[in-house]
Amino acid sequence: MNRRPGAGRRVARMTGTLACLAAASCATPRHEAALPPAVTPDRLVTSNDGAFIIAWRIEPETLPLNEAFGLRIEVRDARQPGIPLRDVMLSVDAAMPEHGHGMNVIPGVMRDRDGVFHIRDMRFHMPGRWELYFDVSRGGVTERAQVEVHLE
Amino acid sequence: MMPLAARTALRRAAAPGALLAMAVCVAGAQEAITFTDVERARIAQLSPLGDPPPDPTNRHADDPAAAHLGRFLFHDERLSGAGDVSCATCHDPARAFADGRARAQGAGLGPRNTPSLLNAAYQRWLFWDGRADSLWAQALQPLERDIEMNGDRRAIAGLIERDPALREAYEGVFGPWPGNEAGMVDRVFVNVAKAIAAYERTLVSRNSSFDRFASGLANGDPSAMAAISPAAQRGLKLFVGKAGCRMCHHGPLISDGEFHNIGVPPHPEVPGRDSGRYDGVRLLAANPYREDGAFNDADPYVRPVQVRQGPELWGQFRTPSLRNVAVTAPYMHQGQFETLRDVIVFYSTRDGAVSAGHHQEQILAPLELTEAEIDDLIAFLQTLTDTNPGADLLVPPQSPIFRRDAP
Repeated sequence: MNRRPGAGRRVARMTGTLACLAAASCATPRHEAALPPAVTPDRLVTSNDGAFIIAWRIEPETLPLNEAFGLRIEVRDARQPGIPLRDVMLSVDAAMPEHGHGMNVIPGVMRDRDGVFHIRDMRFHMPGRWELYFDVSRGGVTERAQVEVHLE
Repeated sequence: MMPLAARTALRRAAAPGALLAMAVCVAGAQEAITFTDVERARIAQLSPLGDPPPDPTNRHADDPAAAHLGRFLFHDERLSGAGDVSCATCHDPARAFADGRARAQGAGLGPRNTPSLLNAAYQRWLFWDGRADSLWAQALQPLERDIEMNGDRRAIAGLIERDPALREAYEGVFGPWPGNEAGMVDRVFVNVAKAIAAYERTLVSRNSSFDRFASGLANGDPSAMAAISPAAQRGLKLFVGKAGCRMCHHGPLISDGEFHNIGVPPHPEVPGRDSGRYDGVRLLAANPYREDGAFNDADPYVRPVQVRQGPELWGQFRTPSLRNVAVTAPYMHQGQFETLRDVIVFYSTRDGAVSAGHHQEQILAPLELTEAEIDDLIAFLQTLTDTNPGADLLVPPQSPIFRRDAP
């Protein structure tokens, strides 16, 4: 769990707004139309080399300051984004690039029978700009997707 | 106090959208102080302080009889090796449960400053380096540490076994005396700490003049907002704005409870570099009394979070709560700064800041505060005082035995 900022810059930028204090507000849903609406989570981001779509949401619904939260994540093939991929591994981490540090805890990852990843023990302990990293591994190759979160 | 010069975030906060937000004027004060929506939201993050979070690792955490016994033990010097030091020696109730010294003086002179115990029940990590993850696991260590109480768990168990009142009180909380069964000394030792922790959980401080102001601000009550002076209100605006204090001092504890290296110069009389959280994580991993140890009462068992180790932890120390900060000088982990002014001047100028040779907060920059701004920040910090969690909690009970109809 030693990933740090420095990978590709293709970011689905989340714009924190003053009206959305203590909550990540919105993302750029570039691939939303390609997914079945019934199972489409709130936010989507494509991995940096284009192989995967990460569909993710915060659990519970808003991003809290300095409190534990979880993530629900589906990893989909960008060419066939209908169902979650089952032959991939996923790890999640986050960092505050300007601060030179990340989270002080190591999140736990669990995958359910439907191939959905559930991340627990996430904690953003400071306000400011965070980068959230999704590292997807398949066939010995790891591809990263990241989003930017502004936490008030 | 860990203001970080988060210039980018502050510029964002001052964006036109924010300037259009409703400003609130403090009525009844000599000087009109206005708060933007952003400031109001940030202030609302600081107050009120709710009830302490539950501690499922200690089934006696909220048992009044355990707290009563713990209050007695907290003041009992017989728990120390030489019979002359108690928990209250360093955590003096008359000094907001701190000691007023740069470095703790128990059985010996310690390397670090004594933190206040007020609101310790809210802390996720204990000690400056976070090497304990529960209040009772913290209470165990000073009992036996040579420079603190220099006691011995066998002697402590023997004391309770032989003292009729202590034994009756102990059995009233924890059940029949365990006899000579295997592990009984460790069990009694842990129970002593769990009783002390139950007492410490009652040391709640949350009725400061700032809390009254924050309630007034949230509810539009000018009389409550008059609880703090215009100078303190200006200081509060700096605290949640330009000075960036809230980057680390946020939440109702006015601390993130986490660890940072802010480059404070080491105390000149303490040899070597203090590694802080770097060794704290290692010590936590080796601590047999941590949350996932055999003495965790939680049922069902809940796996604790996994903490991260790494070179960036070197020289990091836990962010102190700023509640009661005006009466808990000196400041920082080795008591390096004698006054609040010294602390703020350090952040304002960064004079004397050192590198630990490892990663540290990279966005600290001199705040370049004016003298008037420093005065205002001090005025605000002085509004965070509430040192009386209850008069009966400041003194030991006459007997360790809990009577439900007696004080």
